[in-house]
Amino acid sequence: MNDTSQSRLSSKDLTLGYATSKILEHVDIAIPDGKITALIGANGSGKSTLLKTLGRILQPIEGTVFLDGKAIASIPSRDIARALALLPQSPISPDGLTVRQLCRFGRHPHKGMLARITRHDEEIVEHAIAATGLTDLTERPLDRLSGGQRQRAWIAMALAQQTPILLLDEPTTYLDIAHQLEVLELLRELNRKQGRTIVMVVHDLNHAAQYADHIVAVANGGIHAAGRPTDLLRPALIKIVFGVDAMVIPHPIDGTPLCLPFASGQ
Amino acid sequence: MNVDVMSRTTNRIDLRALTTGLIALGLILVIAVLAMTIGAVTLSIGQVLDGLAGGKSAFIVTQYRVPRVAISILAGGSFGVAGVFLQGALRNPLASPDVVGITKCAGLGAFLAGILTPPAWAIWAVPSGVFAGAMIGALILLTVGRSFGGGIAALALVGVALGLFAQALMQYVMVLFPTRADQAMIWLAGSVYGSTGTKVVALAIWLALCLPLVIVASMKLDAGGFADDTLISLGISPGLLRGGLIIVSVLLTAGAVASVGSMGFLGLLAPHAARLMVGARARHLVPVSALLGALTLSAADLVGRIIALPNEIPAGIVAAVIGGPYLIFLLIKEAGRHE
Amino acid sequence: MHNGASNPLAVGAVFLILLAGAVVAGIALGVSNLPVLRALQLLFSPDGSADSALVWDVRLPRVALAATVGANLAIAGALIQTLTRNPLASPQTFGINAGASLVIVVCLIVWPEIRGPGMVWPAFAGAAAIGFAMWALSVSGTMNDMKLALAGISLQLVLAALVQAILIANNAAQDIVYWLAGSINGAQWSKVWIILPFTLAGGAVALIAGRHFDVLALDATTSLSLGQNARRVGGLAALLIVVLAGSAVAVSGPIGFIGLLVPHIVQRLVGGDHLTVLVLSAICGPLLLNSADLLGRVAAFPAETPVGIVTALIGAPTFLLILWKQRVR
Repeated sequence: MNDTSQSRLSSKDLTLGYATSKILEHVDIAIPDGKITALIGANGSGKSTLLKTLGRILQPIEGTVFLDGKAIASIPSRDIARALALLPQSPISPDGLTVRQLCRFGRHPHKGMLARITRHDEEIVEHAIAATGLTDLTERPLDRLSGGQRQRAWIAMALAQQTPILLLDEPTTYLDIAHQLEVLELLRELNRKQGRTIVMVVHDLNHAAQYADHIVAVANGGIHAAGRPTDLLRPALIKIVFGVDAMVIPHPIDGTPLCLPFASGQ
Repeated sequence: MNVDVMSRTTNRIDLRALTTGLIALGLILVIAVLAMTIGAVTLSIGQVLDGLAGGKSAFIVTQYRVPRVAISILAGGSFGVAGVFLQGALRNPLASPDVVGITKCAGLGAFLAGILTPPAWAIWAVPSGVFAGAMIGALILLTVGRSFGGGIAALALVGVALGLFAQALMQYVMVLFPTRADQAMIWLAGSVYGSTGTKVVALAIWLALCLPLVIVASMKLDAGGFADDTLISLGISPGLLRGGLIIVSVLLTAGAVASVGSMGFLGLLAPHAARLMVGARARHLVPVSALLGALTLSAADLVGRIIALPNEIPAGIVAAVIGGPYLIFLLIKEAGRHE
Repeated sequence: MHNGASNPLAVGAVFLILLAGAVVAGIALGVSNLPVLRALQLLFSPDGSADSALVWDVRLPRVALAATVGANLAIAGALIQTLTRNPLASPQTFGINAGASLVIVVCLIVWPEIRGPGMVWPAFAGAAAIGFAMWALSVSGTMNDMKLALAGISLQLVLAALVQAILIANNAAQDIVYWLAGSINGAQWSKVWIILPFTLAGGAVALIAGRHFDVLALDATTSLSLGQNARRVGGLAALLIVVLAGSAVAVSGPIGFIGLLVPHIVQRLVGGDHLTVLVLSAICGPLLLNSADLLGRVAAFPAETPVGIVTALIGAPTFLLILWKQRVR
């Protein structure tokens, strides 16, 4: 089904890394529209680099990222910012910014050079805050939010940006399990209700299995495999991508693949 | 409901910023009045007003004291705002035009212009030298900083190295032309002494020309607090944003240095104090920094004038004496900030 | 990571030969040049002539002062870079030189009679105060290498501005370059005798304790868990830094960049352990400062450029080079 789906964001023959040390080579990737895509891979495999390159934070050494069929390097940055938003792993914000003030920055790509925030912008901002369940915390400074709330505030900013595509770099790091699920549930809801395309780097294989429609496994300097979680997550693949033995069973609740790694040898 | 909450909070912040601003403004006025009355000849307020109206003390008031007060306020405000923009651009509370070498480059430019041109040209040559020095310094800073990957700490350290180099070059020129060294040193320490009406008008025109840029920079200042990846994601070019803020900062610094010499600590001190008082949002921070800069410089000048009568201590030195302990306080605070 | 690491002995030998050359040149060159052979002859058998007095009372003390000051600053630099594990650390970039300078200037104005050997004590006090402040900042762990260096340099700028302020307020503007940049113009034997004991004692202790300094290269937790008393070793290193840098500032003003650059040059040439770096720094420092002094004599001839200005003119671009390497790593 992935082969037939549309893809606004794709790449052709990407080579990433530094001139002296290439991290990924010959990457061809197509992000399926309206789906949740998870990038998985071992530490240092280059999954984050790939995500940042798709979000034009990094430039590839060779190859091209395409947005709506145009080379992303040829599109004005502001136009890209209306189509895709990227949330870094540990974003840094100006001191003392409140949730509302943060989200207002999301309107930037839609405004002229010196235009002020309008009533219409303000409505979109409040909508984004409501969608992330932060309405009661609208006027609270970010540094007084919990980790999970802060992550949701950043997602709210990306929502206020009103981009059909949302890229997230490990959105659940530094969060405890409850907050991890909270963020993942939010992303699923955004995907299902608003039809946003979501691409995220995830560390936890089972999160990828449960929440993603499409998984891209990065290993050995390239994309090792891509496909639906149920097709893709097999012991053999886990062995290649992460170097561990694992058992894969159906999740008792929703039937998604559940990976149980175990130490080999002993 | 949300809008109510918003307007309430916004009003509260506005109120605090407004009070702070008004208090600073009041203090500036008090100091201005004192500075008009105190000096080698003590005048009463009535005599000052009379002088302003063209009465008996007109010469001493309009030729000497008014320009001095006016230039303290204008230059101090410029240093304050220049510091805000630089700290915002580099995301570093320790950055100031002084620390990243801009004032040193401006000083070098002024010094070279003063030495290499006939004395009669000094009125034009020295400010042009200041401007050229500051701009060349900023360009080197941005170009080299960029080749270092544009990292913020690297940019700051490049500025530091640039400043040290400019300073050494200046000292070398002093060795080559020892007869000019003494006046140069006093000017470099920063002094409001000998301000004239012409200087005030020149600085005022310069600042008026910079004003549109200052307004644009203020509107963009808050975004400088994001890391570069977020800026790119928002469609904002980090290089353009930070480079633009630095350039505006340099323009203000050049104007101020050309009129009062180098007083870099004001650029460190005023924004930081302002941030403690009214928070980090640009719409409050920029005006309050300008006021605090103006207040500090006029106060420093007043203190320098009366503390060692009949001698005068240059205002820049007084500012440095205040700035030293403040920087140490800042460092301690920075060290104590655990995340 | 040190490609082309050379044999430390060979590097040391080359340094020594170059140093000997710089010393001879330092004795022969100046406003009135002496032929090298004549200078050497007078060096080994003074004959009471005017030339002989020039060699023995003017040039030789100057070369000796450059050597001792250079050694002090270089060893202090190597120690502070090890102690703080920060490649951008040095007595200058951490404001230690400027601290010593400020306290000396204050003392000189309050008690003008302390000129001479008495100046080392205020220098130690100033160096220790700033050194302690920077140490406290560095162990608080909230600043990375670059931020810490920036904090140190800001501190140095403030201290320098205060020195400048005090000198101008006391109509001593002619001393500014000396107390801001440092100089060994007009060196006398008396100054050499002031610093020499500290150079010898400090250098000896540093070399004897040198093999223990490796423990400082580990982070504090690791070295504690290894059972080494990192705190005691660190305290000793800090004391040495204060004594070496302070005594250097007392006789020559705050000469910059030697302490920053020498350890990097040495490390680049030989890599290796801290003892080797210390020994070679102790040779390279005098070499560099004597060479800079030679340059200063010709750069604005017939005027003499204070050596601190020369080291800054060479040092600032080199500092950028080090930053560049930091980035690449």
